[in-house]
Amino acid sequence: MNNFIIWFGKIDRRWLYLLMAIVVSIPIFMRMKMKVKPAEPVIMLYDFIENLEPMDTILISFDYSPDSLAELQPMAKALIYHALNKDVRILGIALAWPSAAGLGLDAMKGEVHNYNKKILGTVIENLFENTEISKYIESKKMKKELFTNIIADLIPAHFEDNKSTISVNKKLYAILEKQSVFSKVDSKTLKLIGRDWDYFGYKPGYALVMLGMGSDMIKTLNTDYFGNELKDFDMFSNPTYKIKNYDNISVVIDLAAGGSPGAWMTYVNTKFGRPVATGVTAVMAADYYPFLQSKQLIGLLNGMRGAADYETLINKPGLGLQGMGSQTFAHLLIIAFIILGNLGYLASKKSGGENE
Amino acid sequence: MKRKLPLMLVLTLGIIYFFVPFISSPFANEILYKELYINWIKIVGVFAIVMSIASLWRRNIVKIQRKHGDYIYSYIEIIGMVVIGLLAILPNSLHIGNVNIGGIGDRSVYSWVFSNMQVPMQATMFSMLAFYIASAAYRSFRARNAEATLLLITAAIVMIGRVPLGENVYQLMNGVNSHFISGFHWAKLFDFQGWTQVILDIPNTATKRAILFGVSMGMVATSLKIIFGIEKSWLGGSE
Repeated sequence: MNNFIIWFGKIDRRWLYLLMAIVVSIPIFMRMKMKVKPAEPVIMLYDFIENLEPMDTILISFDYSPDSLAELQPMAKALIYHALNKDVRILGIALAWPSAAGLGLDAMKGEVHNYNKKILGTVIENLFENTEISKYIESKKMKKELFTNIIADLIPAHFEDNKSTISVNKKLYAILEKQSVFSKVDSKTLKLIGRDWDYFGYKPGYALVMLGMGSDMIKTLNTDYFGNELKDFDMFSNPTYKIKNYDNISVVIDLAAGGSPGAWMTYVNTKFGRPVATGVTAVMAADYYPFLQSKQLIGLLNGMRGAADYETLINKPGLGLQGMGSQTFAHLLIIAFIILGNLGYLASKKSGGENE
Repeated sequence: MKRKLPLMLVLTLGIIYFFVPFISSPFANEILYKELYINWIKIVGVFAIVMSIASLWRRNIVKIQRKHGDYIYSYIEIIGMVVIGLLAILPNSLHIGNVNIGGIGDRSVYSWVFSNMQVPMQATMFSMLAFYIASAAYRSFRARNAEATLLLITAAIVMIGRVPLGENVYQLMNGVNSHFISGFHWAKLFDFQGWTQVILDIPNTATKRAILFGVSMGMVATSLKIIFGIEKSWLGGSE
């Protein structure tokens, strides 16, 4: 019996790996749902955004690479969803990692696409009853879902005068124009680039870009990710509600897998006096609690749990909540192994064996 | 001169830029900061990128020439660097059907490579961490002495408090508490989420703040040593 307990302290790590793979995978495949009670630092950020007025602006900085996507991308999506539904304008930028450009684009375009698709729901449904459009769908052997997705991009592209999206679907665009589809849509209800959101992509220079945006965004950034000149956009040129610098930004939210929240706090909070919040990976989160207490951060999303908390608050379950099952069982497995390891260690020590 | 010039530059610019944040004059803000500092940092940054590409290129070429161990990966690295670079530089207008060969926009090859190769590969690498952390925790979290035991208990509380299970246990205990005993709220002992928040807010914040102060003071001391030429290791060489 004693030998068996001693064995607990010497289990081959490959067994642990196998069990870990099992406990992480099963809840994902079973789509296990778990409820969470949001933590205070998450509620603080949620309340801040909830209390913003339409036409206020938030700036999200995507400072992570694909390796920490599992924790930070659900946060990005939840924050963007919340802001879009509050009619708050959103700006996105990536400063720390070039590879974040694609992730930020995916989160912003994806959420805007979903929002517009929902708004255009009835218009799209009616299109399926149109003979010419039905013929087009049939000739292209297009699935309903694909068609819906194309239309959800094409109608906003018309109002944005987005030539590249239109040119890819020239024929369909001509049919929609012929059928006067665009006149049936109220463009004010859609989220359009340059009016409701914009994405700058990766901008090299890090702290310099942060500082430059504090004096003049157009001068510092010039163009957005899609190559559009910022000065041509309503959100940067309209005399009544243009975004010139941080004075016109309600909060900067840095989603980070590195030290960038420190720079945002130093330059944007301290120098320009603007509120800063952050969402970080779980291993980094402990570093940022002092800044939460000193009010240099107005909110903190801590790892995948932070994303799950935010999804709970906005009532939109996503990847954060989905991941809670795996995280719960993984933590339990680690605790179980720590207990077994200690039992083995104590038994070994008692029997005068291994005395590490 | 080779060593004196950089030292003189560091001394002069170090002292000037030490005072710039404290001076609120247009000359300091506009000329010294925005015009000189920001532009020079950009120029130095570009040189660093050029040098890093050249260094990466040379390292892989040498490896291929010497047929060093896993030199096959050097081919992959060079091909990847050239192909991705070219795809991003090529104009957006270059396309076959609905697929853009050039540019970095939607439906471009660059974007496909990013979403379907870089993202899954990097995510896979990082997900390995779950296995290593589990293994490291199992092997190192041993109650060898009082400090190690404290660390172990704290880690266990935080691990339970960070997942929904902690709340479920508390709710269960709360139910038992109110059902059987009134007056003494012992179920609070099982409020793992609450304890986790206390750990993060108080001992964690206090120690992190102390470390941060120490690190910052160290940074100031090192910067002063570099400015005044006491610390010269950044120049390279033996000194």
